Amino acid sequence: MKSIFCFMLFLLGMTGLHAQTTLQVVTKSIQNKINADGLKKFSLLAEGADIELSGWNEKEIKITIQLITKNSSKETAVEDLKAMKVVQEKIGNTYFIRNYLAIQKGDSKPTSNFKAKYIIYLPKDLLLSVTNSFGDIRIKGIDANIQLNTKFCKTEIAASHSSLDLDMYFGEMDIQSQLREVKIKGDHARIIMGVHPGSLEARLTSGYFYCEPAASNQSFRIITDKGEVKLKPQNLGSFGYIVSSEHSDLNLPENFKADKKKKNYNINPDKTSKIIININYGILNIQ
Amino acid sequence: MKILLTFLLFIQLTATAQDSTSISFSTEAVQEFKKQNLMDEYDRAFGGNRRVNNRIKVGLVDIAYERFPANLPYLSIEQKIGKKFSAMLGSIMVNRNHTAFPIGDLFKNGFSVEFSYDANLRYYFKSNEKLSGDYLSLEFKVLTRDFLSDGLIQHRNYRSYIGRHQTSVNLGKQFGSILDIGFQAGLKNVLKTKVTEEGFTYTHKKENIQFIPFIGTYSRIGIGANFPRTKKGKAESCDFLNCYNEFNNLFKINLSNSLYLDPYYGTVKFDLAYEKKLGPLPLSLEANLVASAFSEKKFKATGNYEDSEEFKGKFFTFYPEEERKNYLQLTSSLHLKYYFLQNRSILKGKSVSNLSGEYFGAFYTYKMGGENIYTDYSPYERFLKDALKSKSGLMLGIQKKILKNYFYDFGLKYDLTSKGSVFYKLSQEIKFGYAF
Repeated sequence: MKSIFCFMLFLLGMTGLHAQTTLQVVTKSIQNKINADGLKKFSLLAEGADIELSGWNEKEIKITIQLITKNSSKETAVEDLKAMKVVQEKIGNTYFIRNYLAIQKGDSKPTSNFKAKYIIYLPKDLLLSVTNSFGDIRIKGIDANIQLNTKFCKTEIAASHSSLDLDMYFGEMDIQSQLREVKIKGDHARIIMGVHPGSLEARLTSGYFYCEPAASNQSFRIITDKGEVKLKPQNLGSFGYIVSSEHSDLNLPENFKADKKKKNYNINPDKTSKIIININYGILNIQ
Repeated sequence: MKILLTFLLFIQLTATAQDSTSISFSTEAVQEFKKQNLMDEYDRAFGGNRRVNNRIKVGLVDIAYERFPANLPYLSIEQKIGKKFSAMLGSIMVNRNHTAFPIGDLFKNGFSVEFSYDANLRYYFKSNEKLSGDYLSLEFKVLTRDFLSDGLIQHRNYRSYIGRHQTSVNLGKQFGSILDIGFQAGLKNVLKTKVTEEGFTYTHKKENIQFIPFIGTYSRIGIGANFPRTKKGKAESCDFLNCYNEFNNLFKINLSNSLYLDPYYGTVKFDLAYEKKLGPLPLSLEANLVASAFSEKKFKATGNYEDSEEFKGKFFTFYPEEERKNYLQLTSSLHLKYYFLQNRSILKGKSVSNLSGEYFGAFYTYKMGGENIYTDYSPYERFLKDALKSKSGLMLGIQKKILKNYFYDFGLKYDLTSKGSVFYKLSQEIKFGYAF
């Protein structure tokens, strides 16, 4: 019996091996170094890209771009690579990069899968604007304002002391930095912020939001529809809380003396630092 | 021209060079080759299933039924009714000083506006959910001349009739808030004009009112606001990339003011253009051929002037008989266009199509036939008659491809060859239509 079982496992394994496909991967690498003197902003407009952006103390931007096609046919992968274009240019005090897919009028669509990869080092005080879809974004060591517009992206921000302006449509965001002002517009976004000492203004539709508000003298405002919000203030008593809710589950700390039937709260009204939450059809947890 | 080309080359060569490029090959083993979804640039991944209840739109509309085919500003409001119908109210702004005002003439003669009004009841064949698609409509339009009081006509437009209002059945297609094109047929209620001893007159008396049939095409291009503003988009959750189209050549048919026919006045126009990108620069050459036929039944001019105390100055006199005049005109032109903001647009995420965007350049036009289309009834028309057969000059404009196969091209031209004031040298060109 045991041997039959082993034989079947072997057959399954063989079947699995036979089901594998070998893809031909063609990678075009482009490397640049740009003098950053006079530049104030760096703008990256990407599609289907994995992006790594790191701030450094040099006065130049080092760019490595990989344009990748994958296909079972090597010839097709090479041919399709021509459709993936990248343009970069300095206009005014902004350096722009964009990758996109373009075919000639009348040509059929490529059959390969496309991917772009960016590894970029730039001065940490440069304003940063990144737009991307279907990819991963990792940002670290940036101190200026970051503008992010993402669709279906997984994003991480680390070791940065910047302010953030985020527009996220489906995706995940993990912020492991203590940022300054943060503005968020999220739709089906899962956003996890650690300790956050700056101000926050978030408009969220569906999705999940976690934050640990810290320090005083800050403004926190969250407006959400159908979202789940979890807040863990470092010092619960240092904030005033204004909560307005409709059709929502509110899980508030015991000392708030929360009443299940009550929709609106104004707790610690004398505190200057306030957390204002407007929640409809959602779940609110304050711990 | 040499200076222009040198300048264009210089601009292009200032683009940043890449330091190093290499290509490498490798393999990757996967269980299954799952194909990425490539979205056509005109497909919508987000918010494509939006509902529209009403729409406010402004833009430019054909008025081929006037003696000078032109495009005039309009405003319209459309409201959904039930599941298939909509009601639309609109207004067209007409410059009384000159119907087909070239922009230079507008500056010179001033801008005195009057309005025509129209009401449409539309039936969308599929659904009115987006206020878009094929439709059949009943249109009632109040024409501007109806507001003139009885008496002598000061206006330059010495036609055999003055339109009061018209009713038509329209078969058309609405492309979102951008474009509306179609055919129409209907009846026009007009006041027949007369040449009497007093001069060129008309009255609102019953015996002067006639119904005349007409057919024509119409097109409106505009920008609009759809309501409600909230987009209820269904997400495209599979991995996709936008797949843009680059155009190195475009074959264009201008649909604006293509056809209008009634017993007194008619115009048919074929306006074809072929535009080709030149090399790697955002530069193109466009050849344009416009064949126009005009036919007009109007009072015969005596060729004499007569002083008029009432209106000051001299006016033409006419015989009371009408005559029909037919004209053919062929205009060929070449345009050299440099899309100076194209790189910037691409970098900022806008269109990547080559023949698209803001441009400046030069033009050369040669006109054959049709010298008498604009009879010498006014100083402006005399100017047109005397105008050079060939013209060349500079232009500034914007061309954009909209939807899948449509385009618009708005250009401002400055004629360097004609004599006269700057006002006569400045003219505008508005085209929109089908592009292959």
